[in-house]
Amino acid sequence: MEKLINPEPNQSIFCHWEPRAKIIAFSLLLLSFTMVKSLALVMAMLLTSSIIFSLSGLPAKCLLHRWKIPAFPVLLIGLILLFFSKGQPQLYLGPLPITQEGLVAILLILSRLMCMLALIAVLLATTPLLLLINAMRDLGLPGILADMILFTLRYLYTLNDQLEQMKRALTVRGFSTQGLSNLKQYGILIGAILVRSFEQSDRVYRAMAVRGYKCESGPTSNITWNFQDKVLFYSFSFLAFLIALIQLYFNMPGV
Amino acid sequence: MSDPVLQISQLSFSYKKNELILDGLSLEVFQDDKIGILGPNGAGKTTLFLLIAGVENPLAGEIYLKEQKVVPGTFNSKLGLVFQDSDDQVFNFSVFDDIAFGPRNMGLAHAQINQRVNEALRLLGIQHLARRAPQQLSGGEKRLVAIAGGILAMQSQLAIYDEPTSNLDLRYRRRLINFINTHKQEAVLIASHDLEFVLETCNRVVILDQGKIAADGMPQDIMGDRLLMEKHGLEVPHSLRKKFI
Repeated sequence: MEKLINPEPNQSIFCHWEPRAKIIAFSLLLLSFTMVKSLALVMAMLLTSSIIFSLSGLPAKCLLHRWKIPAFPVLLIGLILLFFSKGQPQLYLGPLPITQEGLVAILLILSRLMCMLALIAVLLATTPLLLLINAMRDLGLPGILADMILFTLRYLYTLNDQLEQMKRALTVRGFSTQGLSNLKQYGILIGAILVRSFEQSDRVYRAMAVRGYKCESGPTSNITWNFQDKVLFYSFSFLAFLIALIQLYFNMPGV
Repeated sequence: MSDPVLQISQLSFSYKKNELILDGLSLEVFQDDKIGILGPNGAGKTTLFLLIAGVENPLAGEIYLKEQKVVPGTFNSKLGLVFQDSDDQVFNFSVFDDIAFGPRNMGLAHAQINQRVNEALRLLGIQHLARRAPQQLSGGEKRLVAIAGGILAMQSQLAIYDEPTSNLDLRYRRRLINFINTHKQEAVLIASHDLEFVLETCNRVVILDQGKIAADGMPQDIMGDRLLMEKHGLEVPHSLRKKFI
C-alpha cells in the first residue's frame, strides 16, 4: 500500500511525465488493447507493452506481483473457453476436446491481460497516487468521488490498526484467531469496525467543515506540457489510434 | 471592558427529544481570555464547541463571534478548532497538504498558502514533518500538526482546544503548554480533564454541568474550592491541594 501511495521515484521518462497527459495516453492505449481481436495485432500489443515496461525501468517482479492477483479467475475463464469453445476439436485432453478457437481465445485473453496489467503497473509505479487522483479530478472526476478514494486510502491504516488492536484485545481474553469456529466473533469484530468507521467518518467530516470544506473541486491548474510530455502523449495516442484503426477498419480476422 | 470576542446567549441543544445537552447557556469571552472549560463527561463541552464552530444547529439561542452571528453550516475562518482525536483532523496524505487545507478553502493565493503553512510549521518547530504522511507520525506529532492546520494556518482569532493533552506524553504536553502560553491569540477556549494543564494555561475557568454554567471565575478560586469541584464531579488539582495541608 505504501508503494502504491508513494512509489519509489526512478529516472524513467514516465516518472517526469505530466500526470494528466499520462492518464489520457495510457487510457487510450488500454482502450485500444481491449479492441484487439486478431493474432497479428496481439504480437504488436505484446511488443508495445514490453517496450513501455522496459522503458519504465521497473523490475520484472513488480509485473509478476500484479499478474498474481487476477491470474486465478482469468485462468479459470481461459480454461472454460479452451474446453468449451465451439469448433472442430483438434485434440483431446481426456474427455475434454480442445478446439483451435479455444486455443486462440485463451491466448487472446491472457495476452490482453498481461499487456494491460503491464501498462497499469507502469502508470501506478511511476505516479504517486495523490498526483494521480488529483490529475483525475482535473480531468473531470467528481470532487466527492476523488475525496472518497483519498479518504478510503488514508483511513485504511487507521482501520487496520483498530482491527489489530481489537484482535489483540480478544486474544488476551482467550480468543483464538485460528480456525473457523470463531466466525461469529469475527462477524462481531467486522461489525464493530464498520460502526467505528462510520462514527469516525462523521467526526472527520465535522473537522473538514470547520476548515471550510464545501465538497467542491479545487481550481484546475493550467496544463503546461513540455516537449517530452507532448512527444510521449502523441506517440501513445498515435499507437492507440493505429491499433484501433487496423482492428476496426481493416477488419482483421479475429476469434 | 472591550466588546466580547465571543458572545453566547441562551444557547440550548439536544441530540434526542427531551434530553437537553445545553440548557440556556450564556457566556461572554473577552480579548486575552484563556478559558478552561471543566466538567464531567457528557457535560456538553464538545457539543458547545461544535455549536460555536457552526457545525451543529442549536435548538435555541444565538452565538456571535467578533460581532458576527454564527450561522450553522457556514464556514467561519475567525475560529480554529483542534479536535480531541488528531486522527479525525489530520486527514490528508501529507502534513503540508493537511495544514494547507484550510487556507485553500479560504481561497487564498498559492504563495499565501505556502507562506501560511511554512509559518505554522516554523512556529511549532515541525518543519521536518512537512512531507511526512499522517500514519508515519506519533500521537504528539499529530497533535502539533492538528494545531498547525486547525489554528495557526487559519490565523483564527478564537482558538478552541478539545482535550488537547489526551494521549500526549509529558514532553509533548510541556511543549503544548509553552506554545499556548507564548502564542498570541485574541481568545482561547480549552476543554480538558487535565486540571494541572488548565491551571498552567488559563486565566479564567468555567465549570459546565448539566448543560449550564455552574461556576465562572479565576482558576485558583474555582479549582481550589473543594466543595464546588466535588459537587460537579471534579477534584481539586494536586498542586492546589497542597496549600490546604
